[in-house]
Formats: sequence, C-alpha cells, structure tokens
Amino acid sequence: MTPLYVVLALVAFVGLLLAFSYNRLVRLRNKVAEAWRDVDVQLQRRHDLIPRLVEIVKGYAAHENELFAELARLRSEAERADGATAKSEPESELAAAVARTIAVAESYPSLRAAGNFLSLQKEIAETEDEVAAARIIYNGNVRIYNTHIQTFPVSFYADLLGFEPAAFFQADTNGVV
Amino acid sequence: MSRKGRVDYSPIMSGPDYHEVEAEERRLLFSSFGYWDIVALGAVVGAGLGFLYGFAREPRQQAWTVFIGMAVGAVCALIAGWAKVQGRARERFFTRWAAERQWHYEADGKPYEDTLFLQSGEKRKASDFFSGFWPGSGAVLYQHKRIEGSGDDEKVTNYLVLHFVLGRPLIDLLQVAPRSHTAELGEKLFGHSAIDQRIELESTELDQHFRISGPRGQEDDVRRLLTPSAIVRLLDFQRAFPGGNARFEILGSNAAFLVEATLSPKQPQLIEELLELWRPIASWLMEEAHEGARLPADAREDRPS
Repeated sequence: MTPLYVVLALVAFVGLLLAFSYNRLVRLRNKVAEAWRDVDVQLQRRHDLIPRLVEIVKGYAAHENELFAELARLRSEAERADGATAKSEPESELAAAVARTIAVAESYPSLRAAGNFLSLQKEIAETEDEVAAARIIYNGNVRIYNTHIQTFPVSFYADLLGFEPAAFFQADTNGVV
Repeated sequence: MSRKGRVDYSPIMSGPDYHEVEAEERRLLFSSFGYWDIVALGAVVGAGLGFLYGFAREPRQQAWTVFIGMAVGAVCALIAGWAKVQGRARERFFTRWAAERQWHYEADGKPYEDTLFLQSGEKRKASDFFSGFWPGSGAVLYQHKRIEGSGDDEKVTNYLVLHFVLGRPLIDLLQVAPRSHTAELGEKLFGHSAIDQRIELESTELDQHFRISGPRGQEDDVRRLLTPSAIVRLLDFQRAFPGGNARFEILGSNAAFLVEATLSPKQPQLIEELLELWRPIASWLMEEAHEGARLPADAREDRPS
C-alpha cells in the first residue's frame, strides 16, 4: 500500500503545483489586459483632444489645411487599429503630428498667448504623460508575463493551456509637447 | 512628465567635511581646561568610591581598590567627553551643512504621529529635523525611531521620514507599504481588516513590491488618485532605492514617505538623494491638492508640540 500512497501524494502535489501555476498565469494575463485597457483609455483621451486642437489652431492658421487633414486621417487610422501591435505605428505618427501642430501654433504669437490654447496645451501634455506612463506599465506587465511563460517549467505547458506571448506597445511619444 | 506645480529644489552640492568638524570639536574639548578638570574629578570620585568599596570588604583592601576606582572614574570621564564631542560635532555639522543649502536644522524634536504608521510601535523617538528644502511646502525630513518591545527584546527600527501637509485632504487613507508575505498569510488566516482593504492596481511590478490599501468602500478613490503616472513614480522610487522598504502614507491631508535608513553625518548626501527621489511623488500629491502646500514657509510652525 505504501508505494501507492507515495504515488498518490506525488500526483496530488504536482496537481496542486499546476493549479497554482495556472492561477498565476491567469492573473498575469489579466494584468496585461487590464494595463492595456488603461493604455486604451489614455489614447482615447488623446484622440478626444485632437478636434479641439484643430478647432483652436484653425482660427489662427486656417491655411494649414494639409496638416489638419493629416491629423484627421491619422486619428481615424489610430482609432481603427486594434491591439498593441497594430496601434504602435499609427499612434506614433499621430503623436508626431500633434507635436507638429503645436509647433505650428506656437509660431503664431497671438495663438501662443491665447488662454484656451494654453489650457489645451497643458491638457495635451498631461495626457501624453499618462499615455507614456500607461505604456510603461503595460510593457512592464507584458515583460513579466512573457518571461513567466517562456521560462522552465511553465514553458512546457503554457502553450498547451492557451497562454500566448503578449505584444509590446512601442509607440514613440517622446517630445510630443 | 508635466512640470506644473513642481517644487523648487536646490541641486546636490558639496558641504562641510564631517571629519574636520569632529576634529575641531575634539581639539576644542581637549584644549579646554574644564574637560581635564572633569577627568581629574572623575578620578577623585572613582578613588573615593574605590576606597569605600575596599573599606566595606573583609579583609580590608583599600589600596588597590582606590587605584582601580581612580582609573575607572577617569576613563568614564574621558568616554563621556568623547561622546559629547560626537554629539556636538554632529549637531554643528548638520547645522552648517543645512545652512549652506539655506535649510533649517534642529537636532531634537517630537516625532510626528499623524499617520497610522507614524503612530505605530510601542515608543517613538525623533531627531535631526531638516526643513526649508522645498520653500513654501512645509515639508520636513527627519529621523524617526520606532521602538517595539523592551529590555533584551527591544527592537528599534530607524526610518528617514519626509512629512508634509497637503492643501486639502486627498483621501481618507492610503497606505503603500512593502509587500509582506507574513502579513498576507495573516490576512488569509484571520480575515481582512474591517477598516481598510487591499487594492490591486494594474501594474504587476507594483504588486510585486508594494501592498496598496485604502479605506473599505473607497477603492475608486484610490484608483483615481493612483493614475498610471503616479504608479510609475512609485516604481521609479522603488528601483532607485530598492533596499529601503519604502512606504507612502496619506491620512486625510497628512502625507508621510518613509524608508528604513539611519542618518549619519558621514553620509549627508543620503538626504539629498532621497529628496531628489521623493520630489516627483511629493510634487504629484501637491499638484493633486491643487496648489503647492498649505503650510507657511517656516515648517517648524507645524511641528508636533
């Protein structure tokens, strides 16, 4: 009987380890999803500010139509993209276009001094801070999750249980404002 | 990050050399007539006590007990003088060091006890108060000793604390404490606290290092306060000061940041390093409270009395 008990105990022990490991994998994957939702919220905040930016700058620099059209196109592209990989490029381009628009606006002294532009500029700067921070958190979660599923012994069964590596969000928002 | 509402901060600068200050104090003490008087007095008192001890014993052994008493008395007086040199050198050094930065230093004072962790421990002591480093913020940095147990079981933990009062209460309670597996096991075995609850935010790394708790039923307030940029600031601090068991606590409008560390005049740069690391988090809280800080420029007015 003793060998049977030993085998049963071992099976129970391995089963328990697997259960803990599975729960940890689920927790880590949920954290990645939660962090992505946060990135999405911050990106949406950025998108929502663009019509206001265009409206304010248009009042002073109506002839910059090309820039406004590009902003609208990039915004719609970024909104259509889904997931970290797909969003990386359009969001980078959109951030760069926003930076260009602000640079153009700053070349108009009366616009640069306008109260509504200053408050919008501050809002954009804060939003960019939050986008950058949310991206750092998301990429941190992805790094921890990916490392976990790619290291021994989890790498043996993570794939079987449906845990795929997550994609990093590599949008470059440096120097936007 | 946004520069709005950033508090002013003097860059890290050099200062007086502690060893020079200590040597100067030693020289002053040794050249003072009073000091050698005390050593001689110690020898006389020791001789008297030695005499009495020898007189009381059978058979009487006065001569060597007088000699031993003299030696012990003189050594005690020397050690007392040496300790005084250390204390005076420390105070003079920190006063000069702070003055060079246009800060204010006070060697003694009462510990703050206006947040939950600062109230914890059976006894609390405080020393080395620095203020004026962020003009107008009312922030004070000091050495806080938390004492538990007594006698042989006494356990003293030294913390460096940055304390300040916000312009308005941001939240009833927020505790960002180092993760403790013992505390978590206790929670699982004996149930959760009725007052506060653990809150898991979106960052895995934050969860690995800190245990965030807020008032029961006010989880949304904690989430609103700890935005992604606030989380990143906390993580930046953790990375820059990994062994410090950092804590952040807000109770109403009182905020305290703590790390386990002992202040030494031989390493005063620790103060500047910590202030530089704490600055983004403190600025963020002050911004959240819509203004710099409520306190007058002279932070001493808000010291506990």
